[in-house]
Amino acid sequence: MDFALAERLDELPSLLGVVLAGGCVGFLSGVFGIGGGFLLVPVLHIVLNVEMNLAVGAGACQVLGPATTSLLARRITCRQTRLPLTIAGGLLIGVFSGTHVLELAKQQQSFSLAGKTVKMADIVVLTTYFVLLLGVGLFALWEARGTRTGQRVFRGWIAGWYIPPYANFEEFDQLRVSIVTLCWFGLAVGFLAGLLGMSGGLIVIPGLIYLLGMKTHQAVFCSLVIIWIVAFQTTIAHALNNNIDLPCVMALLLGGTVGARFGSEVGVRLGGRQLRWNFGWLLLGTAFLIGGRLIWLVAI
Amino acid sequence: MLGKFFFTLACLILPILWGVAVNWMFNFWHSRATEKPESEPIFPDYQI
Repeated sequence: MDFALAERLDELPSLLGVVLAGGCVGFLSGVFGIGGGFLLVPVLHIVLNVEMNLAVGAGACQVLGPATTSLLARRITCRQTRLPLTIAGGLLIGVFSGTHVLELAKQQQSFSLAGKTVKMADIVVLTTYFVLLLGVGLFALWEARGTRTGQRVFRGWIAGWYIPPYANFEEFDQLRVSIVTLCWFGLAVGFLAGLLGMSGGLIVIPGLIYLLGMKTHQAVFCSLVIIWIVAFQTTIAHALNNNIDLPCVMALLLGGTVGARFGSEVGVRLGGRQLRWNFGWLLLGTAFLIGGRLIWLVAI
Repeated sequence: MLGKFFFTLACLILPILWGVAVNWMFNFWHSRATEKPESEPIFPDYQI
């Protein structure tokens, strides 16, 4: 008992670091109105040296807290859950596939690259993060620039894929939508969430608006439910694979809640356009941080 | 196996309980903030 207590006390400084990291990420989440999962995993791994699978597991599990608060605060009606539940099947398969890929990478352990021994899980997760954040960051800047110049970005890039069966959803600009397209979208979101331990909000909202052509205010409500479902599924998948450290999750929740409170006060003072522009640079900054880590892992 | 089941359950329940608690706290503060002007005694601006 005393030994276990001593072990816990030894962990205290690192847990304080996790609380601080959670606070910083929570602050940025509050400023930009985002989940922050995409920031949390790189910060835990690169700055605090947390094992990649544990960082991914903690990131996925802690999302359930803020996602539950958002869901309760918005008072989502039963009708608004119809579309997210339609996507839930694709999400489930995607989440378990993503977690399985992470598990395979974890079992592969280390391999030699350019004379250096690197962990497969680190390379797979960091490379996917780098590509995703670079892509979404450049898109966010392009979109913010388009809004400044009054140029409208075309919406519904894959909404025109007519693959039966179809369903009618009032949330979309065009009412008749292919269920197959929706499920493939869910599959992609679930896969990335399972592999990367992020809530998925980073890709769900632009995906719903630009890929599927959903109205912006409806996309916000819909994404909240999708994020909660994804967080629930990824938590189960990562808990079954022993990728979750509960004290770390609680430390992140504590820091994240306090940080988000202060961040939201700063966020309301900034304009929407300014926020979008800064958000793009935040994504690119995180992508460069990950790129630097990848170079350090392989070349230095 | 049973240990893994309870661990998974704990991983699900703890963050959800945290989320419910945070929501409850914010509702509580919000209701207190909106009630405050009515519940505070109004003092007349003259004192005799």
